Amino acid sequence: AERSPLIQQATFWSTNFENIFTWDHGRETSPGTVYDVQYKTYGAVWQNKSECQNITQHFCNLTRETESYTERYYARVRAVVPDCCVSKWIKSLRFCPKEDTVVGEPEVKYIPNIRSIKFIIQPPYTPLRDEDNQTLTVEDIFSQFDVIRYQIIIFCENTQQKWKKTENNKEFEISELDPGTEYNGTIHIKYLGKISKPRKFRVKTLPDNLWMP
Amino acid sequence: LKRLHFGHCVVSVDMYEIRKGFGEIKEMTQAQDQYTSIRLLHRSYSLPDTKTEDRCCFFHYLLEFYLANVFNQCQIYSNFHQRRVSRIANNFLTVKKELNLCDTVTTCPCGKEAIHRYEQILSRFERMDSHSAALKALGELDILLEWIDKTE
Repeated sequence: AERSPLIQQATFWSTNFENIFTWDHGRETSPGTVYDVQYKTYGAVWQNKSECQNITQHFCNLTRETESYTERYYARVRAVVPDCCVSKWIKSLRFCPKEDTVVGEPEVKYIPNIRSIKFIIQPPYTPLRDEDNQTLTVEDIFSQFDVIRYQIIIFCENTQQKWKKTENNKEFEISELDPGTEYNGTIHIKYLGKISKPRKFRVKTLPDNLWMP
Repeated sequence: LKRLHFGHCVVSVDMYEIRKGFGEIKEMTQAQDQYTSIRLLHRSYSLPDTKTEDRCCFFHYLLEFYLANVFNQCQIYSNFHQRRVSRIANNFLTVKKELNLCDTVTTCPCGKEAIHRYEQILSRFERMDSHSAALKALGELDILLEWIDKTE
């Protein structure tokens, strides 16, 4: 008889187009419980994910199977308890990488000067590659659909001053700062009306050694 | 606003409003769609890939399809979702009125391709029971919006 060891929250977790299908087990998992995973393109038929048959972990990397980022996909999982039963398939919601992936924080290089700080942003890389097998960044992908912007919020604890700027370029400079002063803040990527995780920073401008007391 | 140019006729679509409304019904509609092996708006007959001369007619058919077969067919029980669907429907009505102001005879000639593509959608739709089909079409609005976005 089919008793269903509960599987809950079968869902895609996607960051920078790394698409992981995960699930929770509702109750104490019986020893020896294993899981089978299938996936499909919306409108097509289910396919086994071969590396995720009879697995014990509660996740399955479907990045390769969901590479076409404007396509729509589903995944589903069932639990198999040895000498007992097989659960129903528990399906994810419809998943579209372009719509549903979360963009992680960018890498940032800071070049402090006496009265300014130069920022050089490196958008996160994705597992995806172009025709020349070059790794694509999230900017490479989203800039096909929208203008990508970089939002910087910079704060000076000494003066309690705060700036918020939005830039179109990955390299920009914030000037008219005070010498030898520490600034902290966050940098986000803005895309398709959404915003990435923040990169936090703390940078100190160079002292103005020419200044004579 | 997205402006669609069909000959000398320009039609504006309030993509932001429609997307916003759809964002609030997306999970409800797609979660209830149990027929995941059926896709109505299939990429093999998408709007942006339609021949330029047939695009206006195909777009006109899509508007009519949603207004006649989807928005009023959907039995949506929550007021919250019903209001969003109504708002989207009103947006479609506005676009349709704009399109009708164009001289559709010359601006929107209906060639074989437009008719064939529309028939593909309709035949899949009609193979399903009307409620499930309307719900599926509603859950595919993001695909339609993507088509509109990509249509030059």
